[in-house]
Amino acid sequence: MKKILPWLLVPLAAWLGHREPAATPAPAAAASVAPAKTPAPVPEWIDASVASIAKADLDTLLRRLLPLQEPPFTPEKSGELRLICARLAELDPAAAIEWIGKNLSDDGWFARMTVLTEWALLNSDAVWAFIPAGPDGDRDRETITGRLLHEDRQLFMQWFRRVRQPMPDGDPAWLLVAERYPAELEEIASDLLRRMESPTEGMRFDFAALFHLLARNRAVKDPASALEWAMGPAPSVRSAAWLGVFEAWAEKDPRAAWSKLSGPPPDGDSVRFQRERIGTRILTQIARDDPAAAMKLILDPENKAGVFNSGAIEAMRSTLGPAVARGEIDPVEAYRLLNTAKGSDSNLPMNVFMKMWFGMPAERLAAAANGILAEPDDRLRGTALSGIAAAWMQNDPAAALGFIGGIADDEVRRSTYSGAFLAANGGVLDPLRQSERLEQIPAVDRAHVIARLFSRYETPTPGQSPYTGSSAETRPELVVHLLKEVPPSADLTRAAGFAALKWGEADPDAALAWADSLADPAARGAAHAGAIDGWAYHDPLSAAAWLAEKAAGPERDAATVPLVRRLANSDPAAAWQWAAAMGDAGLQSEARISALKAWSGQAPDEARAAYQNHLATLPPAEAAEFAKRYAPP
Amino acid sequence: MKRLWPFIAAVVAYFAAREFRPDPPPIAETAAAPAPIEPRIELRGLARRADRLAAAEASNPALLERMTRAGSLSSSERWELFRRSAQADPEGTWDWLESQDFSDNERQNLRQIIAPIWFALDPQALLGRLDATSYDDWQIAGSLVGLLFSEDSKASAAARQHLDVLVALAGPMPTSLRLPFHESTSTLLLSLPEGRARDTLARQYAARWLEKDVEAARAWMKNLPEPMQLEIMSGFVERGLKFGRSRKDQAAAAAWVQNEADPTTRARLGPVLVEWMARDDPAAALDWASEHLSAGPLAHTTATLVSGLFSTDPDAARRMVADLPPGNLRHRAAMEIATAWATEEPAAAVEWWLSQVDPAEAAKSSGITAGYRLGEAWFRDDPDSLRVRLADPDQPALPMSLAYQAIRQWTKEDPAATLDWAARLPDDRRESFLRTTFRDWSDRDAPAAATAYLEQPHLAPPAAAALIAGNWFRGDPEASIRWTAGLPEGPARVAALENLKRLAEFEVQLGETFPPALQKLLD
Repeated sequence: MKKILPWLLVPLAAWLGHREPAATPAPAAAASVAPAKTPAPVPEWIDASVASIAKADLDTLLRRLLPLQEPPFTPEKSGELRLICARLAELDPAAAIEWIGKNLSDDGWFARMTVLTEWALLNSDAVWAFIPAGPDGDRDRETITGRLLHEDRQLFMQWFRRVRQPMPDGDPAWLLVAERYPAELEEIASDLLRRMESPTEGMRFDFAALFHLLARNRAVKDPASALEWAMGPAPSVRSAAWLGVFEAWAEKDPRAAWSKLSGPPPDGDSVRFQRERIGTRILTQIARDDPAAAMKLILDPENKAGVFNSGAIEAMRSTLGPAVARGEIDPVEAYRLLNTAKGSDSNLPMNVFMKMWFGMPAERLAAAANGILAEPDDRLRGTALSGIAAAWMQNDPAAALGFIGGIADDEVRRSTYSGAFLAANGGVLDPLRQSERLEQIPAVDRAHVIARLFSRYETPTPGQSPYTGSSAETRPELVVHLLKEVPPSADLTRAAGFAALKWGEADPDAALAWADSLADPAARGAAHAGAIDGWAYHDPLSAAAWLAEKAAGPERDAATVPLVRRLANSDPAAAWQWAAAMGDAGLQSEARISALKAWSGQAPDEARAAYQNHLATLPPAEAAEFAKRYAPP
Repeated sequence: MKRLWPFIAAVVAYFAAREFRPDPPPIAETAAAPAPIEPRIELRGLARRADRLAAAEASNPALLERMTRAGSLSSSERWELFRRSAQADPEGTWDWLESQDFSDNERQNLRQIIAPIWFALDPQALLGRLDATSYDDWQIAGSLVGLLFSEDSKASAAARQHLDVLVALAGPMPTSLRLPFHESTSTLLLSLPEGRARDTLARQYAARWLEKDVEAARAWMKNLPEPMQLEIMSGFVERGLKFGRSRKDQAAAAAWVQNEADPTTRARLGPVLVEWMARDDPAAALDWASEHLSAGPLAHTTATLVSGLFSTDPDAARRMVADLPPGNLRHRAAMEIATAWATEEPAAAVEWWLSQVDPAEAAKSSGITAGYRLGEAWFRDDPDSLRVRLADPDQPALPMSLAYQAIRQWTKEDPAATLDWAARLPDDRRESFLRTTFRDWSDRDAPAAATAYLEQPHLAPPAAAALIAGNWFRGDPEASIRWTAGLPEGPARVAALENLKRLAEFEVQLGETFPPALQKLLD
């Protein structure tokens, strides 16, 4: 029995071999791919509009166009018009176009073009045949081609092949077309170039934008070889192609683009501005990711990328400010980073510090102000504080004024006030707003700011043209009353002098009347001197005539100094006499010297004689002192 | 081996039986077969358009980029999409926009779309994002001011509530403020709380009204403070005198300056008035100016009148200048004549001009001064005669202001020859010309100028060494210091060292270190 048992395996194996194979399980069903676009819920107005349009006949639809031509033009109206035109194209486009031309104002250009475009989407050949030949027809074809760009790229290319217009612009649809039809577009571009260069055909329109697009498209894949290609075409389109390469390169790999940007551009200066623009863009992109890296590139002495300081300023301002505002960068860190430009001749930190704070929440400004105030004293620290204060005044003036008022250091506090009040509104000050703004500054600091107001473009130099470059924004008559409550100080004297100088040039009587009203003797003297200086620059004789009527005293002496300086240029002998009439010995000496300097240039002998005679009248010590200060040439 | 036979037979049986097995049954329909791919429906006509409009209806910042990059939207559709995104999330849309590489124009247009939407939802958030230094943001703030007059009461209330900030943000350019011109605006403006915002808007509004109806506008302006009325009127009158549409408008403007303006305003507008009066009666204009103006306005006016007279009666104009008092009053008038005359006869114009102005005025040499301009005109017209006159020993030396342009050009063309020429000039002018030549030469090529200086030390003035050292220092400080170190002891070396010290100290202020080699020389 034992011997038989193994043989039982034979029928078992035969059965196993013969049995039906099990059905192979079907592969697991692939997960169904969700449509790329989740259908947006159709707004009610579209549903309602489509339903009524679909039911309407041609006449009804055409009449519905009429109210859509009337303002106000809303998106809903525009949408309805497009729906109607789409339906008209289905019903009887030729009849619709005829009706539109007769019944809509300006021939219903928009509606006509919309019907034609919708018709082209349904039957392109029919539209092509429908449009008449000639310039009007060419314009229609160009418009339809442009519209097809966003509707159906294959159909667009069918039209563009023949129309060759419009030329690409910044619309993203163009890049998609270039990506899909690169060879064909390059062929068209080459043909246009050939025809432009042909003496008989000479193209009239500018198609450099097509080369720009093609170069950009190439650069998306391989910027280096695209750059090589961009250098190939004729000079008239090379710059555009060069620019296209760098635009794409800047997006793909800004650092590589930056290093290549320093290479020679085509055609010398022709791309200078584009180069700056692209450079700014690249730097901005780098700065967004890594501001320190951008600063390093900006400060690199080998930086020959043609990005002038303005581009670097724009790049850093537009990235650092928002990053600080969002809390991504600590304001003090940003300050220190920009301060790394210290020692270079770059004016970048100054410009960025003045502008980067605008649009920042008040609490960030407070953090920035307090943090930077605690940094070591520095010229740029003052600029940064001024910039912060100017921005802060905009969204929380009370807090800003509280901060500035709390700065212990007089100089820093005053310069921050100046920054806050004189830099707002893009550096342009409305003269009528000045007095109400400046009134917010405590009297003790106000004179400093007013003096800065009158010397922000130039500090007047004795003897030179006063205020040659000053603008209309500084109007003394509108602000001088703010000096009334200001306590005596060197700043008050300076402010009074500057204001009176400017006012004396325009209206000396008013300036001198105001000078008389000042209580502080030093300020009064400076105001008289300023007013007479401004007047005497233009008309020294009239100024002298006024001063001759003024009683002797400190104001008259103070005003005589500039009079002598001005008068000496035309009549040094008279100036000498004026100097002699002064009561204040120190001022008289100063005036005599300025008269002698001018006199010796015009009549050296007379000047020398006057000098000798004067010395003879002085006690020996004073004569020696005078001789030390002035020696005849 | 015998034991293996049953197993061998079983294997053979298995494979033999496989050869005769029946076909497998068809795959069960119930097995999970892939779902058939639904053919894409190509919509056409009305259905297509409806579908596309619907796609653009829903939007938010997250969809913006995808939709705009898809290239299926025209610019107006993109704008509409943007508007919807701003309605859904204005701040996110604003941030998205800031991160995109749009052209300045397009960015500003899109910001103008978001701003009113955001302002209606959260005015403070938007205002906090506007930049008072940006021209673009002035425009945005200005258009938001226009919401004051909106029929949407919520928008109008928000504009009213934030008016001070809006007007401040709208910048100094009143044109950025969008005020509809309507009677209701007049009433609304006066109902605003007193303050800067109201004043600014009222000024702008009144200025526009004056252009349409002077009497009505002035009647309304009586509601405004007097200084403001004066300011508005003076702006209006100035425009009227310059660009007034009719003779009647201009005469009314002139009468206002003469009869109603205060002295300061009259002084400010005087030159414009006189220019207008002079079109008909220059003598009356001069009389009025002499009686009512002084200082700068009188100088400006006189120059204008003299210039007009020169075009019709040059001799009378020259006589008039000669009768003017000294100072800028005469200088400015003389400049007008001389520069006009120099286009025909530069040499004669220069000699006359020199006879009329103070020496200090003639010596002024910046690019805007008469001396520089006259020298330039002469050099352009006849450089040879200028060269002869500059070297003429029988005539007084011309001020350097007249020679700068010529020397710059000659030095550019042939510096060595220019230096030789300068060296042969009469004593009274040689030094200043040599100095100027060395300065220009070293500005272009400091090493060459430095070599030339050392070749003719007897000719070279000490001040020229300072100029050469300074110009060289800017390009190559080490070489400049070495050259200065090689100068013999004397005034030239002292002057050069002083200049280098001054420049190095300035560099230190910018954060550079003082050059040790220079410090050693100074020690």
